[in-house]
Amino acid sequence: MAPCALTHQKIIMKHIAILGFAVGLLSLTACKKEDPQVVTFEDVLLTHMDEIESQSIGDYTLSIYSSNELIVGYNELNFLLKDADGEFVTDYTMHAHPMMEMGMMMHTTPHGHTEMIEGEYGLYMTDYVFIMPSTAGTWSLEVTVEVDDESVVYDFVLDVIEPEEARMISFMSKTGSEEKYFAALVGAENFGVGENDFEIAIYQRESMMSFPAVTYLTVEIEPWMPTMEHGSPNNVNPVHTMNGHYAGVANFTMTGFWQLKLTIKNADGEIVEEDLAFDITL
Amino acid sequence: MKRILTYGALLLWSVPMCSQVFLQIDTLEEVVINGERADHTTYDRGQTDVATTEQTAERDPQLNLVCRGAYAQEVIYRGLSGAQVATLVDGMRIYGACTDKMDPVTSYVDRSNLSVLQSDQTASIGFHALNFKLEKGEFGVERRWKSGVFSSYQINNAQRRIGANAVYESKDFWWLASASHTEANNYVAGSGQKIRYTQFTKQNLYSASGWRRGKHEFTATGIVDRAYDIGYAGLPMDVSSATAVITKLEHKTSLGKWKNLNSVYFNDVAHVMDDTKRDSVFMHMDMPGCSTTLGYHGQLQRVWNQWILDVDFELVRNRRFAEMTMYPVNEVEMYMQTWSVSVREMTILNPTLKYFPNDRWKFEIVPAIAYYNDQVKEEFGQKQFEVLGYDLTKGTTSLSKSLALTSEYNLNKWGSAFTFAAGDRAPELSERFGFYLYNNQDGFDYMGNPLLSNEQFARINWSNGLKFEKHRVTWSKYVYFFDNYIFGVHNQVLWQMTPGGNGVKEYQNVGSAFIAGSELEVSLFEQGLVPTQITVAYRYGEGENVGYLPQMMPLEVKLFNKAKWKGFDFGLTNVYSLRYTRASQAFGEQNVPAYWMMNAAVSRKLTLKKSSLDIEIAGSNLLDNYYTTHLNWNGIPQMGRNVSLSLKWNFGAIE
Repeated sequence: MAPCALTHQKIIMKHIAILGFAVGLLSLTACKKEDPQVVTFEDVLLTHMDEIESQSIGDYTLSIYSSNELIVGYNELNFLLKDADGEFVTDYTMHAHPMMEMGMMMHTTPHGHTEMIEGEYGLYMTDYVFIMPSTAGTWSLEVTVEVDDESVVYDFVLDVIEPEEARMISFMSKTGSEEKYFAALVGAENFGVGENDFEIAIYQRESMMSFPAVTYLTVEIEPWMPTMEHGSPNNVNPVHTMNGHYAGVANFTMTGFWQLKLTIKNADGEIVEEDLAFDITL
Repeated sequence: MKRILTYGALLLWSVPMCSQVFLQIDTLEEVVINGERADHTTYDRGQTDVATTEQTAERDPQLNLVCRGAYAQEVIYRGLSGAQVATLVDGMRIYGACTDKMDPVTSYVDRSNLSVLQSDQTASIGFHALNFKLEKGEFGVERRWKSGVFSSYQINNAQRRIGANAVYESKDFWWLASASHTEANNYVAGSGQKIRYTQFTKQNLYSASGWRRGKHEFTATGIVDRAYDIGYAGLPMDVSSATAVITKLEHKTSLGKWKNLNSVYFNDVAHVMDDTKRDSVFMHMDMPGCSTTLGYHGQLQRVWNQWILDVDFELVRNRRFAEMTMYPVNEVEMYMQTWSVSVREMTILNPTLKYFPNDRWKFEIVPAIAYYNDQVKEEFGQKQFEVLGYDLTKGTTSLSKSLALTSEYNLNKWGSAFTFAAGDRAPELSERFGFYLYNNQDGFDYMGNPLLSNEQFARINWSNGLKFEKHRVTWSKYVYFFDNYIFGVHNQVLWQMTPGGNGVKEYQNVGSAFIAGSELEVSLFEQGLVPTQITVAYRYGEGENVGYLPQMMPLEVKLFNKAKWKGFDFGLTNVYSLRYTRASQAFGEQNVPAYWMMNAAVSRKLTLKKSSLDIEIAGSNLLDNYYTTHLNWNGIPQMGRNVSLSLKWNFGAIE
């Protein structure tokens, strides 16, 4: 039972690629049958995701898609740019910068790199770990798009909610250093009875404006049913894959209320945190 | 090749049958359970209307009962049960719907449904088969109606039973039906202590009919059996209902010189556990289960001068499902499938060839082959096993085969039969796909193992008999060897599911094992004033990595006496069991002290104008001893002193 080497991002990318292929196929068959309905890439995308924001500036419209409501925790935002004719723009670059404004202070949030994941349609994706909900202030996302030698700046306001069960937990290192960490579950919405790919992304706060990924930790997991006082067998501790993501296997033997208990150690084997637990209701 | 031991008509070694008894020793035994046909040459309550099917079967020294409560005792054969011994109802394969074996198939029939118990060493694939044959009518010469009502009451647990039956027989058609209702409260053990959770209520309806057209004979049978509010003192849970519908259609004819039988059957069993009656439960749970079996049985038989060939062919499909929902306080419910939708399809070919070269010798050869296809059909169940590292998306097939050879020699007063058999048996569905099945006796959750290998066996049985005019002795000795013996092994890695449990056991092929035992049966003064029968039985078993095997027995002596006096029939039974010191710790058994138990009964048949009345008063455990056996789960004590009165009023043509 080797841990699944694919990170969540890769799975999504693969998925989208398959989608792209399916679109091609569907439109092909649609043409042959002279079906007036042509399935677009956007249609396919929308069966998996919702458009959460969209803004038009000049000739260009930038839309943001996500498969979930934005939560305090791990989120993947997808971006599509269309021109005045409604055609997908593929030849552009973008940078997105999230910011929390809380009156007297402001800070950014852990996030990954922005990557083009579907070149044919110009689909970009970035992952964000929002560390607080919109009730604490205003989450803004400033996106700068470079297209046709011009620079367009979009300013979105994002609505981030606190999920019923925490999907991100922050903690201070127990080694005595003043390091603050943020650990977020990736893909927890797919958990079910059986063998599950388990993935967690861990970041550290360097400053209010910098939350780099932490890549050197040792993570041990234990799914636990507190009411029944039992765990589950054959779990695989996650190991670092890339960009602060750690992938392993978590097993659940039944439905009900579980806790995913985590022990995190640093490169020296010192315990950084050991009382961490994510509640998982299956 | 039959030793017909007729207990039912109550150790009737005085009937004409007994002339054959001696000639035909062992290998295929029949124990007559005398159903509702009150033939009151009574010995004890084991023969009366108040006795259950299981209690009647227990008179055979080869059979014992596993008790988890007062109801649904499990009949085991020479210490073997479950997957090793096939328990059939009238040739039909039926599988209980309870993951915890609370519903052996005998619990889905009533005593009034049954005629004969065939205990068969050689037929059927696997190790042994116990076939509880159903009561049938006969094609008569003239039309006749018979009917009866019966009722009984037993004091200890206020068990009341009422029922009726009717039979119509004519030249080409017969029909019979019976209905019964039995209800019992908690019983009182020998100490005077009331044993809670030993109550039950059972209702049973049975009907069968046969008709004949030329050389074709058809039989249809159907049973609806429902028991509810059943206490299981030996377990932490009771059963709110256990229901079975059992149906069969049978066709008999002749094809040239071949006799041909074809039957199709269907049975559906539903079992619902209940923890709401218990004083304190850690957490309320719902645990329903169901088991559905569809089967075909074909038989071809031909007799040549000195040869008999019998070919049996079976196609069976069994589907089982059991789930568990737990309700913690203020939390979401928890759910798992203890038997996910599991299907076993089997094909069995089982020919029997018998050869009678002369009056003295008889030979029998029985090869058998069975092909199994087992699969967990539901994705949820497959996912559960994924956690354990098994891929169950594809089915598992297994082949099992066996060969039994018997020779029998009879000369004057002396007879001897020798059987050698070897083969293997495929793991049972629970052994393969069970998921955290809690065994309250050893406190472990049992986990199936999809990768189990077949369990191999070799067995030797040697019986000798001696018969005089009024006396008879039969002595059987046997030894069974097993390899890849299937047994639960503590898995230290897995978490127990059941709160407070001891851990998890996983079924494994643990290595070799053996069972050796002997049964001595002596009948004295068969035609005399006080016919007496003595049986002595002993069984020992040991296994590699197991220690003592479970379900063995200490030396046990049973003494039966009967007498007739002025129209009264008297019966007396004494059972002496030595203390048991070889309990299987690994199985959660307990050592138990020696005990002595005495039963007695007196009965009388009164002939009235157009009817007859059977009256019987029986007492069991007359010494009011407090005792238990190692086969009783968690040492629950047996019933204390009990007195019962039973009546049966027969109308119409009387036997």
